[in-house]
Amino acid sequence: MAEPDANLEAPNPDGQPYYLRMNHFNGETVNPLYTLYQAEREDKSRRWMGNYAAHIDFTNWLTLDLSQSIEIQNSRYSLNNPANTWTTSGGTDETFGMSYTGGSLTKNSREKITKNTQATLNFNHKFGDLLIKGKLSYLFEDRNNEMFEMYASDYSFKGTPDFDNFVTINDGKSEDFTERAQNYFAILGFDWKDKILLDGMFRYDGSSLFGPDARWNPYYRISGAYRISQDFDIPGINELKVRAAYGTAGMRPGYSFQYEIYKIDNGGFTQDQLGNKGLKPSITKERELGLNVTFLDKFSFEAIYAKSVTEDQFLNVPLFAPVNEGFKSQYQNAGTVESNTIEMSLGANWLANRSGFSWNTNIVFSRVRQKITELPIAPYVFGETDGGAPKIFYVREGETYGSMYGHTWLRSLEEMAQQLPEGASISDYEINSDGYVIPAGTQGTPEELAIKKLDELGNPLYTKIGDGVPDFNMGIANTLSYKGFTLYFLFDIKHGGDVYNGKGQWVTRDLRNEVMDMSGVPEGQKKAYDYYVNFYDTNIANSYWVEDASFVKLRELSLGYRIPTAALASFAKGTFKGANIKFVGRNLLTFTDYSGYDPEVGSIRQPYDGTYKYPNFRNMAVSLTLEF
Amino acid sequence: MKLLLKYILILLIVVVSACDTSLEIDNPNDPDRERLFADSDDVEGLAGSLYQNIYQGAHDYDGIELMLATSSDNVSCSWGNAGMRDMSWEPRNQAWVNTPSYGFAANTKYLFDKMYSSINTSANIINAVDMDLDMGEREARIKAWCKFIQGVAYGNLALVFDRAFLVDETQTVDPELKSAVDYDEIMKAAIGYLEEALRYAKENELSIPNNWLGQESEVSNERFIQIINTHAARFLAYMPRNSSQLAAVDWNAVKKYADNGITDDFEVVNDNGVSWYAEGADYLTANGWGVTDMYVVNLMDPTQPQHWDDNPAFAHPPKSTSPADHRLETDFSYLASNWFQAARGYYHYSNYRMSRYDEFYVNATGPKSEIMLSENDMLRAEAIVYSGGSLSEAADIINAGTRITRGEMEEVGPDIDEIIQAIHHERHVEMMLTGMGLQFFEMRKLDLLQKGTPLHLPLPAETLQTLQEPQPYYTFGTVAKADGTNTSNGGWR
Repeated sequence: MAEPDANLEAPNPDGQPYYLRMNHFNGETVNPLYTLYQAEREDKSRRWMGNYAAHIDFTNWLTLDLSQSIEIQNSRYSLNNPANTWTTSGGTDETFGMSYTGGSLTKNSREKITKNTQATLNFNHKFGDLLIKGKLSYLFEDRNNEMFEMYASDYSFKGTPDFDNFVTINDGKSEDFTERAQNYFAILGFDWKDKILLDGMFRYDGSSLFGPDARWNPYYRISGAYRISQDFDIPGINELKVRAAYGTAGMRPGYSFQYEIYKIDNGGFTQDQLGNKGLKPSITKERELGLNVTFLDKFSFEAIYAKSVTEDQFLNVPLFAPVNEGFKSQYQNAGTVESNTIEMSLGANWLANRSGFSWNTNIVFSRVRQKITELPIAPYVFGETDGGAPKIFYVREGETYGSMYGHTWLRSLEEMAQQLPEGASISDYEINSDGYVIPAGTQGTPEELAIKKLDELGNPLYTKIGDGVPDFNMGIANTLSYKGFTLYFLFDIKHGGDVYNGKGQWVTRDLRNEVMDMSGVPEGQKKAYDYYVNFYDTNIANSYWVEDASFVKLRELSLGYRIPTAALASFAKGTFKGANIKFVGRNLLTFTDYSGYDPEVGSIRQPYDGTYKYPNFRNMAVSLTLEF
Repeated sequence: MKLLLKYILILLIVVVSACDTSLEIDNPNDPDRERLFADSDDVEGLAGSLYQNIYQGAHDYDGIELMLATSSDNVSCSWGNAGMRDMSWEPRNQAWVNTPSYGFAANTKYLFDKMYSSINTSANIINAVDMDLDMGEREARIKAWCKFIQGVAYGNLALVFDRAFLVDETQTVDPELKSAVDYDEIMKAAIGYLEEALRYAKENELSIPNNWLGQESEVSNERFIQIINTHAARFLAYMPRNSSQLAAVDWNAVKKYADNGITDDFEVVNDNGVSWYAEGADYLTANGWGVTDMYVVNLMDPTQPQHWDDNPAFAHPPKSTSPADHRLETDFSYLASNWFQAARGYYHYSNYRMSRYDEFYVNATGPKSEIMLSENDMLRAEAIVYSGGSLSEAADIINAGTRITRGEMEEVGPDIDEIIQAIHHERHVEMMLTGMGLQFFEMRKLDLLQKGTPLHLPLPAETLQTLQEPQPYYTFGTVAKADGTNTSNGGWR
């Protein structure tokens, strides 16, 4: 990291601002403002969406819908580093060791086209008390994604960012992905006297992402509901419905999973993955139970419990290369994940237009538990890191998906007693003010160092140090309106769930972690730098950096006003039929104990707060809607 | 109704037939074996990129070049990356942790996978050529080239690992640990493949296209033969794990190969990271990264300390005023301060860094020595000495080389110790940052690696995991296990 006294505004030897080598003692630290000043980057994107549809009524109970939607997304960027861009090596004493790179140019263009064509035959007829609805549908999906990129370095002539201006073009690449699917489905629904409902769906999908033998797969769903309140009159209950459903769904793999790949790059190659034309979809079977109640004319409550089992996950299985023609891995169907979900929501319409004033509240609650119940291959680590840091998410049978594994520190003398080094006794150790076992008498000195928990072989124990799954998530939304004004605010609550504070760990290496600042700490309670650097532990994943990331956030606050039609009639000869103005603020407040920027970082499966992660931005907007 | 139906039908036909609805899609981005091995030109193209894989395996940051440089006290760096720090602690008690979750387990696997990628592909090519494809006149060249590749890949494996698996177009193994054979068997096989390559090259008039070996121009038959010979000499000479194995090397064979070896530097033309990039050396000399180990500084100027003692009171040594080796002033730059963390040990500090390649690495474009003529010369001299040849002949070779022309040092006389020391000196100074692990192989065979340094590495943990071996996996290193055959029990200090 940069020294706090580095002068970011100093000039470079040729007068360019933001002197690059702002730290003379370390050639790695460069001035971040220099690249922002010097590099020229332009990103353009264009999106076109269109849809055309036809609806034909054959009779009043048989209709046909045809539609095609097209989306074309084109994005391009160009990055020009001018010829006189400084770099920290290759120079002389006069230029402080810096020299010009000669510049470089990169241009990239990508276009994605998605076309979906669908034809649906609808049937809807009432036979006495029984209403029967049906659909027969065919959906064709067509996706294409193409990219070109060129890169060249060392300009022949300055000031002309054009690919003709290079002696050689260093690198070019292109990609072309096409994916198609044909899906047939049939839906049939029965509704008897508006109180018993039964639905069934059957689907037959074929996708180009699978080999020919595994391409076509059937899926289905059946569900039923009973509106109890239609048959029984329960005081205070306006509506009571129970429902249940069971269904299957298939997941499609990534584009490349089925192919055998000799990865070509600039004329060279590496053997990457062995193909798998027999790769099947990963199937999820889910059963769901639900309850809907509206009561006291004001409240509505819904509860859902869902249990799903996903089998035949797409796992990238490592292969023993020497007997697999040099191929290192293959995607196979293996592994099972089970998950249970509870969701509840409660809506309360406290006041419905009582003298112009209304107020309603909506609360949602959810809790998900997911576990890997079967893993037929060796456990493996995965996840993004900041380069140089080991991966911390561990997939293992019987473990929650997204568990973090690493080393951990002793917090009790009983544990220390299990791993005393030769010749030492338990009286040589004590617990420090943070709760860690340290050598006795070293508190407040550079020898105060926490001790790792060891396994039977004397190596640091590799164990679970946390996971990102929260105990529950809740959202509380309130809408109040009076005359033309509407006030809306939403609180998001996450309780439980850990985050790995990678940022905190890295800055400790450079002695800059806030927790190391001893100014203001009373004399007898100060701790030495060495104590914290010991926890940095050469960036090895360890439990010190796992923090609880519960939070309460004011997710949204908005105030809107609808201008009365009468007032508009007299403005601009009544051109406007309606006008609405709204102020919206998002991510306004966060209440949390998490010490990093934002506890809402990464994902549930990879709650990793790395050096490149920004906090969520707070934003405020004004919107004006005019109806003509 | 009829009209309506007609319109619907037309619409449907137009909409659906406008697109290709086939679900059978080939991958246009990367080929598979079926596509590659069907065409003789493609097969040649595939063969041509085999040496790139070897170069990457040897020199990428993801490989082991960095950790071999620090563990041999040639370069010093206390950053944890790529196992540099774990392999260079004093005392050597942190390596080698052979578990799949170890932060640097992937580095040894990288080298292993890259070498087998070349081995397996060259075997497939030879099979394709023998069975289906008609390469015509190009057949001899492809076979010579594939045998050369197999030789170099197995040679690298035998130098680094304690054992490996012998597979080629005629043999395969069962996927279990006990199918592996020891490194001396692997090396014998490697020399065998190089001999076959030599046979093809000598019996035919071949020339190797420049991009196959990263050269500026086509490689003539004569030069290709020289390159194969030098590789054979290197592998035999760098094999020994300790001084008793050193005495058992067939030095006559080394002499024969080295005498028929390269007559000028074998350089690979780097192209700014596109196909050829000597990445390891970039990190080992970058500002903020590797510095020159005091052991090497002391070799060039005996008035400099040989070791930076691990205490804050050790004074920062001053710049050399008249070093015995002139290269300390031309190839190295003085450092007035250190960027490493004191907490990691002052013994990583140094007062010099290697600056010979600074200009080269601005854009990493241009030729970079892979095997210097000096290296071949030293192999010749070494072979003469150990095979009981004329010491003055060996001394003459050294005195005609970079020791005098670049180092401007004192000439050596016909004395065994002086000659071996001079060879040792050139390998540490002149050949710094050329071949992967050169200084590691040099230190280990002279029993100079610090006690506790692994003398070779165990098979990668992830590979053992794929073979379903039970943990804990076997490994080497640490002072407690210093046995002289797998872990050094010697050390220059």
